[in-house]
Amino acid sequence: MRTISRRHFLKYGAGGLLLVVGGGAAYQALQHDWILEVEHDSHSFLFLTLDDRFVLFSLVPVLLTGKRKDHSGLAPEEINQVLHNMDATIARLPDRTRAELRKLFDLMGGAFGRVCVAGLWTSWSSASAEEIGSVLIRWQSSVLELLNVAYYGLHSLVVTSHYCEADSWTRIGYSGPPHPMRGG
Amino acid sequence: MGSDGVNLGMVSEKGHLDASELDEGAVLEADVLIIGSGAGGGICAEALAERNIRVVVVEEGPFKKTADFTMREKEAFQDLYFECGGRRTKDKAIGIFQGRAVGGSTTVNWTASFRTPEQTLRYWSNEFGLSGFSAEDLAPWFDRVEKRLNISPWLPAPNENNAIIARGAAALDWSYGTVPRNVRGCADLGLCGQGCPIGAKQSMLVTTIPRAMELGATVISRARAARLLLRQGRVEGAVLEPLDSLGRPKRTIQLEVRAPLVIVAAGGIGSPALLLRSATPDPDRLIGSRTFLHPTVVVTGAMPQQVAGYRGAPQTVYSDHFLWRDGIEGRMGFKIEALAIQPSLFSGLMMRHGAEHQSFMQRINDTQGSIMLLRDGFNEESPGGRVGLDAFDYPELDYTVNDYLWEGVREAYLRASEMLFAAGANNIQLWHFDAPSLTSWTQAKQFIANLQLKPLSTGLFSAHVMGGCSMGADPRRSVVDSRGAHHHVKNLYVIDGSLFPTSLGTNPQLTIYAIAAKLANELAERHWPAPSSFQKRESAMNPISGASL
Repeated sequence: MRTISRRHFLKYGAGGLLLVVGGGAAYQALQHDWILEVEHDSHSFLFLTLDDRFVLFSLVPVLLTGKRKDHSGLAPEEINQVLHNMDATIARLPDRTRAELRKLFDLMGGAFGRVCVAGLWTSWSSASAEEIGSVLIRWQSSVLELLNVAYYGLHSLVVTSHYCEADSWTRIGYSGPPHPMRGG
Repeated sequence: MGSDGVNLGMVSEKGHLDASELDEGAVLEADVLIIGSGAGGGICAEALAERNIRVVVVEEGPFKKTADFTMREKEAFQDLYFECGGRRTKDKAIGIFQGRAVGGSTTVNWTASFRTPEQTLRYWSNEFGLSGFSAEDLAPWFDRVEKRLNISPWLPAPNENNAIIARGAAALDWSYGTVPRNVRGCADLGLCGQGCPIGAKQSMLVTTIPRAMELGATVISRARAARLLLRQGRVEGAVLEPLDSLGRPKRTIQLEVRAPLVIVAAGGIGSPALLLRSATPDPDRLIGSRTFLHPTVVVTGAMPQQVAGYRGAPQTVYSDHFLWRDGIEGRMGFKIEALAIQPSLFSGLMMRHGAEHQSFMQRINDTQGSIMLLRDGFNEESPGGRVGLDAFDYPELDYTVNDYLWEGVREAYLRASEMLFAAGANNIQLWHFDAPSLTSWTQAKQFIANLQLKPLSTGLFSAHVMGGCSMGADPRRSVVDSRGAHHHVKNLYVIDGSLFPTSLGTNPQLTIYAIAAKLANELAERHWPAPSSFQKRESAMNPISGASL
């Protein structure tokens, strides 16, 4: 019951507000049912905003698997877990790095920044895996430092935030840390 | 704690003060303030406490105990490394792993404990005029710390990840050897980088720091030295910023430690940054310069057999066959060691994303990891980087990778590929953005010869930050003298890896231990010439006043 009502509230009630304050990404994401997976996450974030999380929900699966969320084999909870871990890490980074990441996320979340920074004409949520993949390659090799930050910062945050979780280990055949023989 | 205000109750029974729990400021006093609790600070703390000198040790990271170590990378990177393991040089081209916890990097390192190469020591004496740093001068200090930290070559069989290096080197008739390690009762678990969960690694955390605390030293954890108190050409202590549980400065509270002698041991990057924040006299702008990294490249091999490079002591076999390949000042040489293949670390270092990244991760069990550590600083074309401060007074390392270094990288790629094919790899992977999997030595040779090497495309990292407060005889070329004493500020010492005039060409912990033992004992004899006349005092913690500053 609660799910339905929240969803209706979000779609018809808060949507307009989000469009004004949250910029394009949030609005575009609203068109997709999986907004619920982002919105329903009750985790309290220290750094990532709702808008950041909408962008990341599209970006993270492509960065990890080369496929969009629905085909990535990643459960929504796993993607949310990556976001939690990224958030906890970013909250511990120095002021300079947090400022760089804030600038980056703000640009990525807005339509203007998305076109200019990512070269992405469509929204993150409707971009294909190939389109997002090209964005990543462009960032990696850019002469603009901000875009290198985008690639190296996000790459390392995303992949380490995923592969530090036991859920990811079974998929790659890693059995996890051994049991230490305390006092042995 | 806290509501009592400033009194001895602030300090827990064993002389530990967690500054993140403080809700008001304080002024403390000591005979010696040591800033940093890693290889340099840890050794100094014990050496001085044993002479009944009242010591306060300040550490930016948390005071974790053996029982806290979960072996999980998730907690370890957040709790125990600077910038959660994601520190990078200014242009982002080189990733930097540095421990940030009580024990410093010794809490998280992979235990390799080599003596300083004689070539390096000779170069230091000849080029920088160091006195007392010949292999003979240092030998008794090496003997002493090796005994203290139970350092000896690893006798059990190496894990497969290391055995492959031995096999490849043997097949090519290269020299190779067994890595000496600082362990006691090691269970070969292989997750040293996350903190030893059984206390076998003889890090500062389980050796010198607890011993110094038994002898009355106080450790203040989660406090960053904001600046030194300098007055009329001498040091009088330091102002500390307590950090919150996220490791960020609590700007509302200040601690001050007053001490007539201060040892800066905050490590490469940390020590020069503190001197810069303190506006330490530096007429020739030397502080922060000559910071060296052992820039490190990675080549992995897809093996026909199971490797499980996450199990077993991470580094037990090495090859120095190419370390001095062209003489000390010639082309840049490199040491070959193993890269522990742990999922999070491995995933973050990999120069791939998307489907390719995933497919490398899925082959984690069959992957051998080799790292080549390039020795920087032995040639005028290898000036190292410079530590500066950003707008937030936080350090930032500007390190330019030039053609001289790229030539070394190319040779390192080449030799590691040759070694892995000789050891039976099906294919090898250079950790370079533009490199495909290479399936034969012939193909690899040709590809590497034509590969464009440039920052960001070439995977580079460092686990060894050295220099930045260079030691030398000439004040126009160095920050401290052969005693570790600052050239311009009285009673200010630097005793850690930041005083190396060049990189070492080998893992630095044992060199730092030996030099710290020597310098700390020598300074104690100079400043407290008659330890017998020294009265043993109750505790290092004796606050002289307390107020919200």
